[in-house]
Amino acid sequence: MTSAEKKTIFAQWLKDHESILHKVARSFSPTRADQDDLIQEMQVALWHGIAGFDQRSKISSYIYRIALNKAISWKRRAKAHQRKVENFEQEARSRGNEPEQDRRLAIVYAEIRRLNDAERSLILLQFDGFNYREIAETLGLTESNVGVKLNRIRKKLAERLKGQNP
Amino acid sequence: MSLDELEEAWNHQPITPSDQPKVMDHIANMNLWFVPGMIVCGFAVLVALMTWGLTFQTILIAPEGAFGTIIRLPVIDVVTIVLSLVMIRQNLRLQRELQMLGQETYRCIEFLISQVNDEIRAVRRVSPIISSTLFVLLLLKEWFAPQSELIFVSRWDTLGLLACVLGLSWVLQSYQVRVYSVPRLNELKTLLQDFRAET
Repeated sequence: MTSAEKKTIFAQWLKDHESILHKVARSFSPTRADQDDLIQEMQVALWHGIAGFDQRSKISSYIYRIALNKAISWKRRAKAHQRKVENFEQEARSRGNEPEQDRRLAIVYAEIRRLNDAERSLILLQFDGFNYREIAETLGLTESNVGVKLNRIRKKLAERLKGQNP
Repeated sequence: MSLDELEEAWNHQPITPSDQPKVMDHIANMNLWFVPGMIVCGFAVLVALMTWGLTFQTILIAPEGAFGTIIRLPVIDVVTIVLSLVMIRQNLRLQRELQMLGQETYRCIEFLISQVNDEIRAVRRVSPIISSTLFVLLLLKEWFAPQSELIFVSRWDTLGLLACVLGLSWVLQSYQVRVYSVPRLNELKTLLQDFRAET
């Protein structure tokens, strides 16, 4: 593959699927600076991953795989580590003056960040419309394991969201 | 708020696209250091090996005093080779990590665990062995070559200082392993268990 071809593919992937990088980065990190760092590292990983795409899966699931693996392997900055990012009340209060859509989104991401990395990876894929088989292939799990875990995660989220108003 | 509202908010969230030329510049800058770095390391290893080769050739031509000559082999060659090989290994590890990011998440985590284990092993076992070997080589070099000059008037002071530097370096590396690498390893193992658990 020539450099020009790689650049074309990369540009197309970013144009069509960049939202995946942003969603995963925002789900794994609470601060804007860390999210930007992580997105940049995902973009580099995506660039290097172009040659490894074997077209056996959808492009979106391959990109999701790279983004999730990068988020999991990314070494968080010491400050982000020390913060208790699942302190939902603190985050919700800081977004009190934002429009309703942004407040709802803030709640969504705060709850997603409260999950552990495994649960977070599963639910992100389901929210973006992947079926159990595709999720299992992306993560390297069995379909039945995915099904059981997702049911549990959705129940957990539903419980936590009860009574929360944006 | 319900799950349905959550999913609706998720599906309608605005995303600000990145500035693509800026992204390409960043990627081009990342690639800039890799190839020249590997070339420099490869060249350093070649030069060091050639120096050793010439020394052995000298020994073969004039074997008298071969033992003393071997011990006087420049330690700097050994250091150059070791450091260059370490840098080459780091670069190759980085390439391998970039490759693994495209694999299934479970396999990627297993790979990350093996990487962190390697880091811990390198500090706890390999680094002390290499440092001790280099120190012993230098010690023997000075023992068999009393006329050589070192930084200070007394070569034993210099060796003592070197021993302190090597010891301190190992202590700092061990601290980093204990504070960062070991917790990181435990985190990754827990994550793998979370993925594996059926209930």
